[in-house]
Amino acid sequence: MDIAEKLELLADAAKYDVACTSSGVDRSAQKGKLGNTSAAGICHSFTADGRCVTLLKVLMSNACIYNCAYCVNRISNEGKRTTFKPRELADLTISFYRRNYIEGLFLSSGVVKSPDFTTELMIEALSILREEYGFRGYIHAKAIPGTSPELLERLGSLADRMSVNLELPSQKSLNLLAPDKSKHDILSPMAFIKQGIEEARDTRRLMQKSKRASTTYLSTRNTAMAKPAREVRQFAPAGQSTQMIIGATPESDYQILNLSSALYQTFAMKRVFFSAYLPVNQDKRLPSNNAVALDREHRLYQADWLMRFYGFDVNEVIDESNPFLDLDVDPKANWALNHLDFFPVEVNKAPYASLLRVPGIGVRGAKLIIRARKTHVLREQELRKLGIAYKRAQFFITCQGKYQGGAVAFEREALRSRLAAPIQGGRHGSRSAKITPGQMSLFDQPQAGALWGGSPVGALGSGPAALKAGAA
Amino acid sequence: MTYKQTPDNIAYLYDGSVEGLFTAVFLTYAYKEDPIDICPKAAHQPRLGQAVRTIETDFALATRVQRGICRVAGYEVFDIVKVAALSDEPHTGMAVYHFIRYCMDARNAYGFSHNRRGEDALAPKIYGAGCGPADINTSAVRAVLHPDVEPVLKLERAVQNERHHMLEFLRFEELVGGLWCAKCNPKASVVPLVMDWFAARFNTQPFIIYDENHHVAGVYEGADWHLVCTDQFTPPPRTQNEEKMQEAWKRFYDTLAIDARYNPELRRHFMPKRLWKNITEVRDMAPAER
Repeated sequence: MDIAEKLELLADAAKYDVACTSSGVDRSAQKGKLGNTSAAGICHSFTADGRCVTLLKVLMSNACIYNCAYCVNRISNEGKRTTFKPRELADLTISFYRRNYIEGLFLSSGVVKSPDFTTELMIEALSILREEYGFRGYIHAKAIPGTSPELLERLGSLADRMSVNLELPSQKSLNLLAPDKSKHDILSPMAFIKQGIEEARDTRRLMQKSKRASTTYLSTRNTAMAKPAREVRQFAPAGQSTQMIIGATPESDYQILNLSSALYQTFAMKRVFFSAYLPVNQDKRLPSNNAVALDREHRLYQADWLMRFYGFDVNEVIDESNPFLDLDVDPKANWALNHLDFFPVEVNKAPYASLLRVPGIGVRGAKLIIRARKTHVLREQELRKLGIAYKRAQFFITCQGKYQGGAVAFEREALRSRLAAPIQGGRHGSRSAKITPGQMSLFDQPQAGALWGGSPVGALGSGPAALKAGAA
Repeated sequence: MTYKQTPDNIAYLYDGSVEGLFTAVFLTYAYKEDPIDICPKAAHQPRLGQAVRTIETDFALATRVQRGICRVAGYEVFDIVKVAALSDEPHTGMAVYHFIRYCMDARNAYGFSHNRRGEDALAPKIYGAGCGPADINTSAVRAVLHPDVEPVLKLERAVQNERHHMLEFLRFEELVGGLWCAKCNPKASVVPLVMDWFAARFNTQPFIIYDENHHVAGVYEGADWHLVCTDQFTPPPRTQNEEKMQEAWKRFYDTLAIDARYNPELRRHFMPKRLWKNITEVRDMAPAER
């Protein structure tokens, strides 16, 4: 099998992994070695579905001994099986990197023979990259549940980011869909990685301290101690992430967000990724409807951002009595509508944290406002110049004491109708079949009608039912 | 404008380079004039009864402008001006000119952190006189909404975004003879801004980045890089391995798309179609050139 064909097979099998970031670590270039990394991460291409390609995302092997219901690589699926030779993969990574196609490598794998055997293969490929070729680009390695700690430690010292897939949001769902994996198998490597990261950080800190001391008291003992500081490689310096599948099992957004909030706290996760369930297998354990949970995934990510960058607590974003996020209004606007007593906020005086709560003002906008109001009085014109989404923000702010929302009544329902915004899913693909509710059509749309039961309905009267229908 | 009640009906025409623009700015002081147009020769549209000065680029004068801005406002502010000056927008010349006048105006400059005596006595020792890093709250760009400041900040942001597009979408090809080459067509002359990044990253690998729109090539030979202005660019043929790698990459790229999520608008948003003709994996789908 030639390398291009192998690459196609193993990339096809890996593409359902959502994480493709190269962020979290700044590593400068070094004379004579290839590569560097930037903490913000750099995308290098975008696929036809608009997702970014940052890393060479492939599986080491698509041969797997497990039988997880949602996975394309499960043992009961037929299809070509293949495995990269470690050197083959390292060479391919270097060739792509030199052409500026990628920021580095994202290496995952199906379980060949045993988790330990698979991890050894991965380690071999990564050590060729790091130690033989001196590659300083980004490497994301997936820890296979059930791998022994010694191997995980070695893997973590070669990779920038590690991740363990949570797969499904609860033990019950896991038992149902991934009978070979258990909660313990998944959580214990997470805890191990967290511990490894912390230990490596502490060691480096101590080393740097002794290094600094050696410049003041230049004794042989101190310089000898300082030496390894450069040689101690960090353990997964860009932290760890995880992902879970949304919509394959009946968990509510309330459960999912609480779980992800707990993950951020207990395991110091850098990211928790959500992956809208896409049916790739026929299985009676899986939901049979074909509707894509993409809109739900979108709202979950918005809620996730609120928790990570906007200082929201999970209880503020969602509560038990309304366990699902509103699909018409984004979570931040939803919070604002439920807490009208907090508003309006005076843009010329309010502290940063309060500005961040205003729909239409983001992190960049709030920082700019703080900077601009030192020299200028802010009114509508100035706010628009700063790039604030004034159309949304106006209902929640005052400028020098004057309310900006105009004649719109300051009450939940009136404001809600102004803030409601359907998610833009593009004009093509599975989310394009939407019709704005209440929009009148002069002609019947037999083609569109066929999608929801064959009756030739126009757009009028289709309402929310049509919203949920999606494409077949 | 605080410096003159009515501007003179004069246009300053420069060659389109940053040095040319700075020379023009210097000469407005030398001639004691306040022109209403400063633009590249090619882009100029004369106004009724307008006098024209054609500026010869003079590196010595441009350097004096650079030193002046650094002295009054700090090198960080100069970096902002320099980046903004690379833009192709028609109002770039005037925006930069007004901003430099604003910086050099004694009444404004008094407030800049660099003109305050004694407050930061260490900075001149570390960075040289008047060349410390600017504090954002007292620097020349603190008044983000000032009519002389805001346009320059907008331009700078746009140029930085274009630079980032180049970091993302440059595609190097291996040519016969061991040279690597990338072509690009950015809408600001950003090649000088990306050279440091790629020189550090590729290190021992010599390469050329050629900008088709501005006819500028950045050349890195393994140690240092320099810029070359050229109208002609005929690279040697690609190696055999290069064709194979491009094919593998294209196959990888096509495989990654998930059909059920097809969303070309989103892709276009992140990866503008104007750049496609130089991006290996989407070159075939690039819009035809007019």
